[in-house]
Amino acid sequence: MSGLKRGSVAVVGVAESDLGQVAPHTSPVDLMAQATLRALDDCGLKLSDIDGVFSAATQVRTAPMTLAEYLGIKPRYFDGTAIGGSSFMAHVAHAQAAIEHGLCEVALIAYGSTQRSVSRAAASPREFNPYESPYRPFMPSSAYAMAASRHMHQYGTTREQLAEVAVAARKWALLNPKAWEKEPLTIEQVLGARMVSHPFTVRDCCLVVDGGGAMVLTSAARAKSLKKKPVHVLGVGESLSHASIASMPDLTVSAAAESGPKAYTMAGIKPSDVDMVSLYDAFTITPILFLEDLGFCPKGEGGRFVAGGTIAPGGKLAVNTSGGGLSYCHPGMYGLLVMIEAVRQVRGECDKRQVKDCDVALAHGNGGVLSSQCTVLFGGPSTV
Amino acid sequence: MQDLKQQSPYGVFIEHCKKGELAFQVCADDGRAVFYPRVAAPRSGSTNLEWRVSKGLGTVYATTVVYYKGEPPLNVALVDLDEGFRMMSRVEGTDPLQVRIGMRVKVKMAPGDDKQPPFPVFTPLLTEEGSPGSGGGGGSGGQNHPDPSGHPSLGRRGK
Repeated sequence: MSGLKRGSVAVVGVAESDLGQVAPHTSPVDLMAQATLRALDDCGLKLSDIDGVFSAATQVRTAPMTLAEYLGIKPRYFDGTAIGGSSFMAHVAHAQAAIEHGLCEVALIAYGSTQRSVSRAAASPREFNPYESPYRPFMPSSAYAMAASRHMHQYGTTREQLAEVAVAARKWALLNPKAWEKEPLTIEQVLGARMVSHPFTVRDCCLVVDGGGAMVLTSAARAKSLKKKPVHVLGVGESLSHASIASMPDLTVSAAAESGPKAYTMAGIKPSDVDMVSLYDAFTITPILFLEDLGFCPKGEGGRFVAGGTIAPGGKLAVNTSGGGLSYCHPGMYGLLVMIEAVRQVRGECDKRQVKDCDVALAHGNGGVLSSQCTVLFGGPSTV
Repeated sequence: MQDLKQQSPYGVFIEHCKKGELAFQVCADDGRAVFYPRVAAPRSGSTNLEWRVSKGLGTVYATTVVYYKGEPPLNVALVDLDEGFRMMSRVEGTDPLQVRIGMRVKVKMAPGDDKQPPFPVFTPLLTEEGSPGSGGGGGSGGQNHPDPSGHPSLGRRGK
């Protein structure tokens, strides 16, 4: 995105809401509010400091409005951009623009979902599409499964390589006390699990759990005086390529190949400068596509790249250290949690799963059926 | 411009389906196929769209098999029609797991019911030897596909 200044804003507070399975009758906005108060505590700001509200949620159609009412704040600026799981990366970019232009000074991004409690079908009803619905694809899984079918056909990617992504995520999750999954997972267990939409078994698919999060951003100048060391937004990139999977020009190339370069250009860095990668892993094929499209391996090599534990703890590249949407938490739209892990890595708060000397982290969000792709590069104080 | 008080793009599509026809649009300005049917061509915005009936021959571009509880496995596929557009559909008349990328297929109309108008599905196109055929070049259809979506061609940037 041209026009934004590298490092002009910083993340100063982050928090998850309660995750996993919440109490009956908990609302998505309860979770947003809980996470917001925790994120404010993380940075030492108060509710009354927030003058920008950014939110999207499948269960709350007017999310910024509903959240502002709940919290009793009257934001000067608000944005409800809803493009699926990458919405929150877009919110970071939009918040940066708003803060740079003085439209707000302290921006809150929040999300909540009770999809485990109320069922995925109730939390995220699919829109009717007369050119798709008669064929009864199991969405969104079937769209990603078809992308996997193309990748396997064109590049020889195997189901075992897809399973490596789930196994690596599980190994990271076992280092994260907040992760939903607590037991080890093998490639054989992934392959032998219940088939959902070929080539995906249920272990190739993200979790369906409750949860939410919040992030507070402010200007780099104001960030200096707050509780934690600032984590600067070095670069952002947003891209939309299609809405329905039949309109995706090439199922093996996502628009991350556009959002990534935009973010790298703004940040003035390249993939080899990135210390830790947080990728939206809705399905095992997505990290493979994004590792290629974001420049960590050549197009078509993603399956071979992840084989042998490359992205697992102790591997060559630290990917999804929280355990990801596959094993840590996936509350419907997971993008905010993707960024929270990246911010914590740059802060050095990740204990057993901490990446050594993590100065630059990349967080990449995906929405719809590989439809929206947004990339954010975060850097510690030494990078600005 | 289509008069939406009289007729909708999907309405016209359904009328063709009822006659056993797979309909699509062609932009008369540049000859590009447009699918799904719209009131204007993507990108150019041209309203100079003409309806055509497809020959119904295509190549499987991508495929999956859905496993709904208590039901037989169900194929879902993306099919590249020879006229240069892509659509979601399914391939019937063969084991869903045997539907292969590159397989040549032919349209037929599924009957529908009270709520669902007839809709196009596909069956394997039998070759002269009597086995499901694989079209020439179909296996790499992704690279050659003429971008039916109307979006800036992400595909050409690939590889």
